[in-house]
Amino acid sequence: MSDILQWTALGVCIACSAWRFPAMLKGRNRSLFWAFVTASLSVALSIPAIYLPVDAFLGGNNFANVILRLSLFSVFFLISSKIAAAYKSELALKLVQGTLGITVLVTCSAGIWVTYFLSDLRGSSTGLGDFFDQPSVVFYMRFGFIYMAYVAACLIAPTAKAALSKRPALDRIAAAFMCLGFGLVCLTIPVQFSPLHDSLLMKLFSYSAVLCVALGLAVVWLSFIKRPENGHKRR
Amino acid sequence: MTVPAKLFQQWLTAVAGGTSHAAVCRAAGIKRSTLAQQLVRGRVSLGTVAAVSRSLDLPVVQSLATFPAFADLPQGIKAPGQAELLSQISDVDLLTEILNRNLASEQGRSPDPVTLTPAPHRSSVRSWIDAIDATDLRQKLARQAAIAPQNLSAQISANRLNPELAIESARIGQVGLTNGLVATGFLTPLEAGWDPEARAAALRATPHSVLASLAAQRLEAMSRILRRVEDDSQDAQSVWENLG
Repeated sequence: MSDILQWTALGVCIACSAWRFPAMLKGRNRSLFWAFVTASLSVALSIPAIYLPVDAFLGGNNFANVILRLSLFSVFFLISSKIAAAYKSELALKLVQGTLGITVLVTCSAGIWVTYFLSDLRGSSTGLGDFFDQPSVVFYMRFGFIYMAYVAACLIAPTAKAALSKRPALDRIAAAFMCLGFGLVCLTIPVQFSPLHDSLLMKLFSYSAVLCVALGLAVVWLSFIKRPENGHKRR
Repeated sequence: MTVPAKLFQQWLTAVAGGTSHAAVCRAAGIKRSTLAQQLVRGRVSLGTVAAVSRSLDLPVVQSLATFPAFADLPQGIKAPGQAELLSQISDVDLLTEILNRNLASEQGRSPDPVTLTPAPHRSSVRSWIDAIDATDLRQKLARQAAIAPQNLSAQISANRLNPELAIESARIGQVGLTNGLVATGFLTPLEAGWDPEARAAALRATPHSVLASLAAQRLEAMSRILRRVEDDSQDAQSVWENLG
């Protein structure tokens, strides 16, 4: 079950990267392309079949997991500012890009590094599942999810507002998917802080969230393709 | 909005004899599947009755009157009032009349008569309701028809009002029962029993000052609609700009 979800999420992320590639070459919203490339990397690194050989190549000290965490941070940082600007939320933009957002980002990144070096992580283990008896590893995972949940929480309100507005149906569907995705990201926090943090529930929430946000953005691109006027050209 | 299918069948037999449904639909310009579906559901739309009636050269109001719910429609026909007539003149025609009159008075001649565009115009429903609204017509209408006020205003904003609501509005406003059906475009002014020249006559008889203030109201309403459209398109642009 979680395997299917993971591979589907990876496929969707790669497909979205490919879809954004021509736009990237033309210079349209390049950060979206890089966000999806990075997201593909992150999802790939959470799949054992990919994680284990990559980590073995990097020395078998689970450094690949640090790459995974930090690339997830950059995905959230990249798309959050875009989404906040798209839905004209000054507040969300300030919370993510302002002093507070940067502070949370720096704290969580520093937390990742510190707890990584405090832990004994010899021997590759996907998602660090073999090391959850070490308190520092538990904190490592929490730092990893706090920044994402913080950003997602900032974006719930603007996307929900757009989903409930009188915009055209396609725009509302797109916003609703994103809102659902960010809601799922926020739900990972109570799970992460509970004894269930090692369970299937965590994967279910995380990868469904990836799928929802990717789907939401794909719907935006559909509506962009179908937009009534193409600049100053006739339809 | 609908009449019982059984009564519709009876009426159809009475007016069209043994003509097949296929032939009736072809003449009326409605899809056969549409009529079949309405008959299966047991409710035939008033639009279907009107279309069939027109194809048989029968007066639409008389045809509707054969159904009990609309029996009082012919007796309810009353000539539209001055305000109702003016409400069914489009913004452009109204403004053209004002410009023509100004031009004519500057040149010291009588104004060229405006050729009115056929009713209904783009905001005919709202204009008509504003024209007949004594007090809280919208609230009364929503209450009597058991429709949510926001659904009613959504219909009015979209320049739509289903025939039943249009007739009900006319009852509440104590005007001719078919007048609202003209505003919604369900009936032509002629079918509703209006004098074909009534709108033009009403326009000519309206003093400059009244016309000017009416035009001001219309422009105000137009600016509200335009502002909303512009805001919506800006919102969509912002999404496309950042995520497209």
